[in-house]
Amino acid sequence: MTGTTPLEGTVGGRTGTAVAATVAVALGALALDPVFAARTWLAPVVLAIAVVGLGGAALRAGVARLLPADGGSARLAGVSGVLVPVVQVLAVLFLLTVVFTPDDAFAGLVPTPTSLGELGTVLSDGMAEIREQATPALPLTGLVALTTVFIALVALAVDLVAVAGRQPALGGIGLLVLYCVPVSTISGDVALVSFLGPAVGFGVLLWADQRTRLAGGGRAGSGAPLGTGTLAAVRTGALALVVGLLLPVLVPTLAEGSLATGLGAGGDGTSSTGAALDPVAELRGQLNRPQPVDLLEVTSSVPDPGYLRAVALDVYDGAGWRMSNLDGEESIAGDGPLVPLPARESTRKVTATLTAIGHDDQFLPTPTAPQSIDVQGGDDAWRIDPTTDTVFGRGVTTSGRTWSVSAEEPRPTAEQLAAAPELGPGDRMRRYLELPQLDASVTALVGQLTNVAQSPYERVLGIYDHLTDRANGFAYSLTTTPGTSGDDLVDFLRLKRGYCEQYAGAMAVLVRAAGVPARVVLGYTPGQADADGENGRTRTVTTDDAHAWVEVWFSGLGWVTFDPTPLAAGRAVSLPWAPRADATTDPTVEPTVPGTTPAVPTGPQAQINRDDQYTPLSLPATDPGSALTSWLTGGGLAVLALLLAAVPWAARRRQRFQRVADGRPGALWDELLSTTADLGIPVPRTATPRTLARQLAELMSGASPAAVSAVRELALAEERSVYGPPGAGTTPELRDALQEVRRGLLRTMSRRRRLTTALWPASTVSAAGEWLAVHTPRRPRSA
Amino acid sequence: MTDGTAELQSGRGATELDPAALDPTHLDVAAEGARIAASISRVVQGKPDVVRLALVVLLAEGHLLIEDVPGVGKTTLAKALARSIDGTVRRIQFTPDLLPSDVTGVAVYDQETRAFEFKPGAVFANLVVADEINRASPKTQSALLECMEERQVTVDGVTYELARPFMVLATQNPLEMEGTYPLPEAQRDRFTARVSMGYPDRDAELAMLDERATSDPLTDLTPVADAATVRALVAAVGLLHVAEPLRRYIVSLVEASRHSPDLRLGASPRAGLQLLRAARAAAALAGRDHVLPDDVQAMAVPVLAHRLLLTPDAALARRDAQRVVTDLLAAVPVPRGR
Repeated sequence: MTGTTPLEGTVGGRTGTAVAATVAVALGALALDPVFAARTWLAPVVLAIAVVGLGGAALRAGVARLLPADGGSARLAGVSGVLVPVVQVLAVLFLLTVVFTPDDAFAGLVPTPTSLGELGTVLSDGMAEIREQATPALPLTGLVALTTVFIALVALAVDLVAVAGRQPALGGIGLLVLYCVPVSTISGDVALVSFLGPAVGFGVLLWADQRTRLAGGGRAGSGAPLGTGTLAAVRTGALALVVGLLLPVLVPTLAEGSLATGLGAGGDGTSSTGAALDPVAELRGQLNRPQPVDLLEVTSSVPDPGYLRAVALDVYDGAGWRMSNLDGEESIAGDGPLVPLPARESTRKVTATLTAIGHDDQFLPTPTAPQSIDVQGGDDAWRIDPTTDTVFGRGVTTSGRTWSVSAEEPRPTAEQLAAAPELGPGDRMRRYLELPQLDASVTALVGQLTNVAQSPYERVLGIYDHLTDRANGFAYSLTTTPGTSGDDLVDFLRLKRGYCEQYAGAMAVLVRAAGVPARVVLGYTPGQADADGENGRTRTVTTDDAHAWVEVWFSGLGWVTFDPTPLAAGRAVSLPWAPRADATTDPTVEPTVPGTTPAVPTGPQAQINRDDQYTPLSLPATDPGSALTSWLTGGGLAVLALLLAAVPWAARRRQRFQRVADGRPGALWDELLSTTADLGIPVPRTATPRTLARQLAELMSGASPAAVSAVRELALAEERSVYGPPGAGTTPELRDALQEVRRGLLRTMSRRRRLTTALWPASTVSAAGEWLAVHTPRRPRSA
Repeated sequence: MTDGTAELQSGRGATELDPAALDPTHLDVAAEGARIAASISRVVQGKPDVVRLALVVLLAEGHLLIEDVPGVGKTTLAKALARSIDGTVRRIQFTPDLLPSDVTGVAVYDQETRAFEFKPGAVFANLVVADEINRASPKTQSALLECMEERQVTVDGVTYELARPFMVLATQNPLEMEGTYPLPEAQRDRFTARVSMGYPDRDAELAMLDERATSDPLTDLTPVADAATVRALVAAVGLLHVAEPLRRYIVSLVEASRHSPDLRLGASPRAGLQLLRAARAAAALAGRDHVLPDDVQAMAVPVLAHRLLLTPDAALARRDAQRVVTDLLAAVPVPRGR
């Protein structure tokens, strides 16, 4: 012993483990990187991890120093076992106060009741933000606070298991939890960093595990050399990595976004899970229309009101349009116009009072370009997202509410539009031009439609005319024909069958491709005027009025509405700047009375010319949303993984029951051999029943004398049955003896080993190995 | 599958069914063995394993080679075993000038009968103590070859049967001692087992010093079994049940010795046969009616080690044959027969 007492050695070893656990959790936290749109979340999270891990290590070392060296490690363990987690939780609380609510805290550091209340508000904001945002999410304050709390809890758990419980490898479960976050929230492929972060972190934990184990084996005091176990850890990690990469290739998984299951699965805008709103307007949808339901009553100041906007979709990802994250910082209660309009645009002032009848949604339908909104029951909870001009409630819905809106509807003239200039190179509106790689046929079509156009407006009209001219063969159909190209946009442009979502989605893509900013808007057509309403100004909006259209940005004029969908005359809104190419040529556009749906069979589409709609946001989803699908997929995979993991256990259990039911000495002896293999007791293949019995008896001699005699009985019966003369004597009843031995052996094992044995019986693995050895061709032995 | 095969099988099964029924003497081998062992142990103190091995070899109808440095009681063991059994005992002191005819016997011309008359040599006895066998020339050592294996002597074309039981107890000094001739391989292979006496422990040595001061305990020894009993015991041992997996085990062991990289010469088929016999005898002495793999493992080193020839490399690496056999035991799995 060179000056180090065993106690110090232990503490030193645990400090090493604590550092390893801290590093591992920090690496694991990287899994959340793809969940956020920016990295600002990382700093508080890393701070929290460091506070928990390193603070715990320092605290444990301090406790060890304070207690006398001969104070006994039991006392030390008792004190630090209770004290350390409490102090760690307090430290995290201080950190949260410093980072998130320093203004209300005492000296910016010590939490006060006010600051704690404020912290609670921040966190509940975070809950709301989680519901509002889709991945990648904006790192808003509440969300970051919530993430920090979550990861601090994980770090605390890992610290408890790895350092206090001295089971670093088990801490890997915490990393698994972190890994589950991107897996369950991100649709599509999960970035490599989400996998590598926790994987490398787990490697670090394994290394720490190996190290503690070796340190326990007679090296106490000096601690194991730093490199010990590294090779094994790296080897295990590499093997696990290879298996992890190969397994998904070999095992068929639930395809997400495949041809068959449909990209058109979404589109209802309902988030069934509440985790993130996903009002994706997929281009291929199969809508089953419910009976029309009255949604809104609208009293408008003008006889011909425009569309009612609910949600704008500003991101096209190749599969469909979706909403980018809602920035919920700006309340509608604030001063100034909600949707600023460029000065030059000619507008029409519209005031409307809306009352929700059947409408119950987070999104507030408003006339285009609302300037001020007054919601009955308070404006505080209603926010406006500046990038999509979407008004939404934080923790509140429209149910039963009345709200009045003052709006400035854009009414540009064709001349104004034609005069609108091209987008400047640094224009912030360029974000509405972003597109994934489009199919070559789409790009060619855009080029063909816009080759003679001069201004942006002409280009837009070229596309608009193509979609609205019935001569081009476009027809309205709620039943879209599944295409074969794998690209819904290409399918729609080729097969020319679809409803509002297809029309609006396709036009927005083509307009963007033509270099003009565009977005898809979901909302309602103005509805039917009530017969008994005053001056016909009161209208009722039903589910049949649900609609999707396009907004195109013109510099100096703002967002201008275009609607390529063929609509019934009673529903259509006159857009003088966008005359439909089919306006006077086709009398069979649409029935004027919604709800009566005469089928006009033209070709294979029986449901052609039916009323246009998208499923209202508040109605139950007819198709599971993609979020739900991903949750179901995740859940299914988890269940599958659990089932797979339970296979060895189940197989072993069945084997045991069979053998015990058999009851012959040979079967019971086989069972005993398997039990020893499960428990990790090395049994050489050259061991005779006698030698094994002696070995086991020695192992159990202290714990259970009954088991010692039982194992002898078993061995005698086994050797008599195998080596004795046939038919000699009767075999005694030995099932109880086997149980006795099993109990005796389990008693000699640590609780952890017992658990491992139950969950992962090693004998099944070795049995599988033997089976392989027997059933695979052997290399002929060279002479 | 024909009926004939089935009959054959059932017939074979019947003969193996009950060894006790076929043994008219109903001997308790273990008890008899214990009495002989107790008798020997009165002289050879503190060496129960060696005594037991000597008994095993006796019951296996084999020959025992006792090897150790001078003065540890090799001859005493041989003589004690001989005296415990009421049979004819002959002792040959092997010297460099000993002739083969001294061992086997010689035909002498009888002047009265005017015919050659056979004078039996020292091997015509139940127990032959061949003391310091490696001090005789290889020629004389070879004279024992026929009698040990075939239990007969052929002189001048006439074959003479030897007595039953017949057991050679040879002692020898380790080869590196001066004035010795190493036993040829064929001779070594004929010994069922080799045993090393080893030094007695401290207490046994002290007790010996006390006792031997006044009397020779050998002289007090009286036979506890006669030749007929030993013959019956041997017969009883031969009937012990040996399960098929065990026979396979023995073959595997012997075979493995032939493939061992450490060995120039592996175990012969005779070695396997003698291993089986020794295992049977050991099982019988333990009071069992069947042989266990433990018996085979216990007998493997004494039965196999002295027959093996190490490769020069293994010898240079200071490995000895016993170690090689132990390694074999640790490598060949015990078959379970299922």
